[in-house]
Amino acid sequence: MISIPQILSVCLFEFKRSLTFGRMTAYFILSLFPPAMVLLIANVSAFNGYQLIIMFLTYVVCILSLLLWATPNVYSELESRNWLFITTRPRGRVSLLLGKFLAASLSACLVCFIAVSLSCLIMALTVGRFRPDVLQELSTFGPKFTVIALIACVNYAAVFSLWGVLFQRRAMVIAAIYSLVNEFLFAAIPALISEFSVRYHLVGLTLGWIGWFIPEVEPDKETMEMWFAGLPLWVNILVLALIPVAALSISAYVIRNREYITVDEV
Amino acid sequence: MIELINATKMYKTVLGVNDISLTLKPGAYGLLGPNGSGKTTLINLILGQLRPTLGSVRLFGTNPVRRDDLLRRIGLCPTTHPELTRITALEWVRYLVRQHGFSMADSRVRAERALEMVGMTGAMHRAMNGYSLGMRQRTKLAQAIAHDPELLILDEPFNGLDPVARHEMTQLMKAFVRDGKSVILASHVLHEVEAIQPSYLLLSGGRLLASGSAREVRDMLTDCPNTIVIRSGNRKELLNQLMDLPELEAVRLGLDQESLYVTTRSSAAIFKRLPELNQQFDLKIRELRSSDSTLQQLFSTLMQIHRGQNRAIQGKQP
Repeated sequence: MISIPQILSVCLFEFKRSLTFGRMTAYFILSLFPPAMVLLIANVSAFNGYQLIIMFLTYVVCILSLLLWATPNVYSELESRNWLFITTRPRGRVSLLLGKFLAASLSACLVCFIAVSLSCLIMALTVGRFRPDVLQELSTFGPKFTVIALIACVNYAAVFSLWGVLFQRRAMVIAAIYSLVNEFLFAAIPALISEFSVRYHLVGLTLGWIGWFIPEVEPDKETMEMWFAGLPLWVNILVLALIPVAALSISAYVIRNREYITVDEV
Repeated sequence: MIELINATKMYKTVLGVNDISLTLKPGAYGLLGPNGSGKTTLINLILGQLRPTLGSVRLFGTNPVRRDDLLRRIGLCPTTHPELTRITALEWVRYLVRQHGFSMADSRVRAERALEMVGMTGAMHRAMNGYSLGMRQRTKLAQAIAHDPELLILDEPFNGLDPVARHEMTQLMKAFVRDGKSVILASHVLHEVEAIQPSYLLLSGGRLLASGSAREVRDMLTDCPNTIVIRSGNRKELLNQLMDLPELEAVRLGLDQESLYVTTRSSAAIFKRLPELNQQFDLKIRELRSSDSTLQQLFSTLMQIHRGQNRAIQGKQP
């Protein structure tokens, strides 16, 4: 059912196709948005929550880039009339899904990596010059959060790919609504519903790996568990490992079995 | 090779194809029908891209839905043109050949060879978005033949091709058939299909109107009004004599002072009487042909039957 060379071939082809002015501009803007914002706040020397700013902006950039690149996996092929050429090849549909997922994940990972790296570099070069503690924080925060950002990219790429497969049209709108409602709103509610979001587990992972990083507003253990980290770290890791597998498995099943109607039919 | 049993495809309330039953053995087939007649839907049913709402489809003896092994044996040249920027023909064809499981090196060799066969070697390193319509058609054909399929399905393959390119493509398809492979060529331009001398499948409104060789399809029309063109040096006398024939339905004068367009329900009867009349009245008949000799007329007549405009031979439809 899966052919690795075919998937890699689709991924490579997607990268070749993406070498357009529009796509490069999007890469550029998304990568530089978090560092630009960090540069604006870096001179506030008393500011201790810079990690939160970097995390939030990277999270936004991750979701935006994947909305652009992972969600229109089926729609873009149908619209650009490439669908039949690839889906009439053996395992073409699944290769297309996974190849595009891989390309979108790698693109988003690249964007997030640049965003986090430049943001940390800016903090080190500005605030870090007169605050050695910030330099020390960045040396652990930077690498750890980069890994978390990459995990977020893979998870959201899989979830948005699923939306793209399920909804032939307006998949991007539906994925955007999902992001706002589930990942921003429900994920912030201190109740069971928040555990059904990717963000909840990403926050749990962050607190487990990096710890609480704003000493002035450190919550007590009960508040922490209620709002952020009610599950053991291994559960967060397990869920974040299972989400891409589950989302891509469902996507593969749907894309393989569904009839997608092209505009040229009837 | 292909078998459809009462295959019907509905797109919600829209009928794609309607109750089609046919069996196709290996060979060349012309799938004819106007735009929107169901050709593309029929092709997608054969490929397993769509499932029939009713009935069944068999390709190489099995249900083609989700059968990857069958896709290896098919080359498809759809009617659509891919929108690709910055991608060269070689990259695109190579990418698609690679999807058949060929190695990178092998897929490059096959892509180059296929592009050479369609005359695209000189332009294969140029980006496809700068191609003319004809070049795109050639490239599409290259991706369909590059993996050496047993069955080639071509949907409107001659669109945008100049006469020389059409001839070259026709020769390519003829060679393909000569090699014992099969071709299904869908088109709404009949003379393009005639060139590969196929059996015909005539579609309209999602229905199969007729099928068989050109002669078999024409035989269905023996009782259908036919128009005969007769060129005579004595047109006036010819007209006088024809007016007495009971088989005559209508006569129209040609612009060239010699031609008569004779509409009859039984052209055989007219053909039988003409030599006798020619000799008896010195009609100087120079040319005798049926204006129905092109497939276009055949198709138009079948369309009339289908629409109920000619009920005389409706009982003979497949």
